[in-house]
Amino acid sequence: MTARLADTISGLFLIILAVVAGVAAQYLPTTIAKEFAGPSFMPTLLSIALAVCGAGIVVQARSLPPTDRMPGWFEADRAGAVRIAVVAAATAAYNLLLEPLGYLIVTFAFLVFMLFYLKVSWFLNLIISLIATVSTYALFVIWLKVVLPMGLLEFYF
Amino acid sequence: MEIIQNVLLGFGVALQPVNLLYCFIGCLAGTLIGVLPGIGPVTGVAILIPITFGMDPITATIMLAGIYYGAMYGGSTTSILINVPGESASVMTAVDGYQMARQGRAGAALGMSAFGSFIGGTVSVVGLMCIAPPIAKLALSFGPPEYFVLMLLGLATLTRLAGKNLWKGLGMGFLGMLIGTVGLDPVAGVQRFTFGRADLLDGIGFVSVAMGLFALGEIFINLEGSPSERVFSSQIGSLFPTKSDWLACKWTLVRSTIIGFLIGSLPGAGATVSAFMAYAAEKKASRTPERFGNGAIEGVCAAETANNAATGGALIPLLTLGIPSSATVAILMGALMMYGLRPGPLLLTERPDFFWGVVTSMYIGNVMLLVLNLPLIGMWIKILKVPYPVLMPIILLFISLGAYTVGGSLVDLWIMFAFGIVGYLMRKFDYPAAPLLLALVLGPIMEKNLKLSLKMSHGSVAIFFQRPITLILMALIVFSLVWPLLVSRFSRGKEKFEVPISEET
Repeated sequence: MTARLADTISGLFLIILAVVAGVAAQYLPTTIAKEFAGPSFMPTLLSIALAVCGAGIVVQARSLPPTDRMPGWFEADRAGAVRIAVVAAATAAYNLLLEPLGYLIVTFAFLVFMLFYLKVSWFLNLIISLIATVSTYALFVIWLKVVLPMGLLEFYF
Repeated sequence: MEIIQNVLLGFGVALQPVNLLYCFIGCLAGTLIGVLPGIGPVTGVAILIPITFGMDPITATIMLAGIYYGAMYGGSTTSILINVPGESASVMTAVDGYQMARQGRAGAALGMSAFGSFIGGTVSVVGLMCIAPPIAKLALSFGPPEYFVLMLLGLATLTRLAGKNLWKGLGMGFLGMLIGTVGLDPVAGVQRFTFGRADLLDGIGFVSVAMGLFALGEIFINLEGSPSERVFSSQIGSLFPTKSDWLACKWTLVRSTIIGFLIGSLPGAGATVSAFMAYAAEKKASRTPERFGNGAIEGVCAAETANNAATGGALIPLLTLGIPSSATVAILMGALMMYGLRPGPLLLTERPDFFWGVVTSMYIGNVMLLVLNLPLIGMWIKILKVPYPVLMPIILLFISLGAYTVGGSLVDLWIMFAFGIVGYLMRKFDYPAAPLLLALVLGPIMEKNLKLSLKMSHGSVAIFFQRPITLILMALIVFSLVWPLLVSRFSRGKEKFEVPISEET
């Protein structure tokens, strides 16, 4: 990925985002009770500003040398991309299952999976997962009185 | 006399057992956060904010402030021992600190770092005590027009946080402000961009955004390479600098404290820039500048003294004017607002127990950190040996837990997740995250004051040009925008340093 291409893509994305936000802002009331700057005022103004910045990024990208690579981009590190995708999917699954299954079950399963995926030995994996799950439960629920979803274990806690 | 009474009031609050306990917890947690690479003060403060819900606001703020300046102490340990700065303000410490460790003088570097941090941090707290009250008194005459222009000044600092590309920095600022419009209109009470969801009526929480952008985004970046073990093998030696070390650093301590405090108080600067400027100044002042970069103890002393001196300075604009000077302070500001406090000039007069309690606790915290850090070096070294594959899932758990406990809603969890992906993409496409967070916190306040000002003036913008304080603030805005251009113009041909723009501090 060259720096010019990256900036062009991201600049265009910002312009599109600004247009969508600007159009959505037009559905808001312009003024309320003779107010001089109604609910749509700031979103509209900011959408315009964002679009201008996006355009500035695109225009500035044209002055970059076409062969300059984007710093920080790996050439083709599939292993890294797969690691990120797996961790992101695990985090999304955690979010989805937290309320139906409950904090204790989902957290333990999440930690076991993550430590297994990152090649931590089974013994250490189970110890760490158990200690982390129980200690965070004790810290947040028992000490700090935070309400966490118990899901399937609701009748026991 | 008044200041002495206020300081005594502050100590009366800060020395309460519960506040002492949480100050200690904050300092310990902050040092741990500083030691662990990959978690900076922004992430650490954001992750631990949910723990403070239900606490007294004074106690909560004492703990969060402890984390903030504790992280500065901790960041130096990994910089010196393994050449991996724990947070960005310790980058300059690594330059000479690691070289000293390779020469078998890790102990002296760690010791001078601890003492320099203590001196810089303590003097900056005294500076804060002396300077904050007069600024707050002046700011009592602020009305909505003054607050609006003040927020504009705060946002003008986006140009300092923007990094190399101004368009990208400003774009992220405007995006942050746009995200800040989600929820109820601050004056009319009309729903904006909530898609009919009740959990978005209060807007998009900055805690979830901060955790996503800085913490989860950082995890994704770290996953690109193979997770690897960190190995520490240097001998520590004695932790106390020698007499010649102290003699070499005596003026370094003075210069770096002043530089760190002054630069730290400038919005948009922060501890990282302070450390860099102090290091550069020390190198210029030295008769043997060639030693810098090869294990000069003055380099370690300058960087660490300045970055801790900056913490006191950085709190002046927040506590007196209500404008955050960096991403970490923006998080602190958001936390104060969540506790029902309004950072600004009224805070000092309405809640003197809060202001003076927090400020005096910073002095106590600096003493605790000096006492803690020297004996606990061994423990921090053991923690450094914990492999990242073990640490990462636990950090991820804390981030998720922290996001969920903000509002007890899955929406915050999903916001954190979404901004984690956004944060990762921002890093890949080289967009700065700090302006987005700063604008997210300041934008709604600015909008509210703009609307109130226009109501006062019946729609005329002339109100911003008719009041003396707004005119002075506008001049400061122009100055803050023009000054970097003047500096770069006049420094052409002279030795140029590239000033790092930190997203963390």
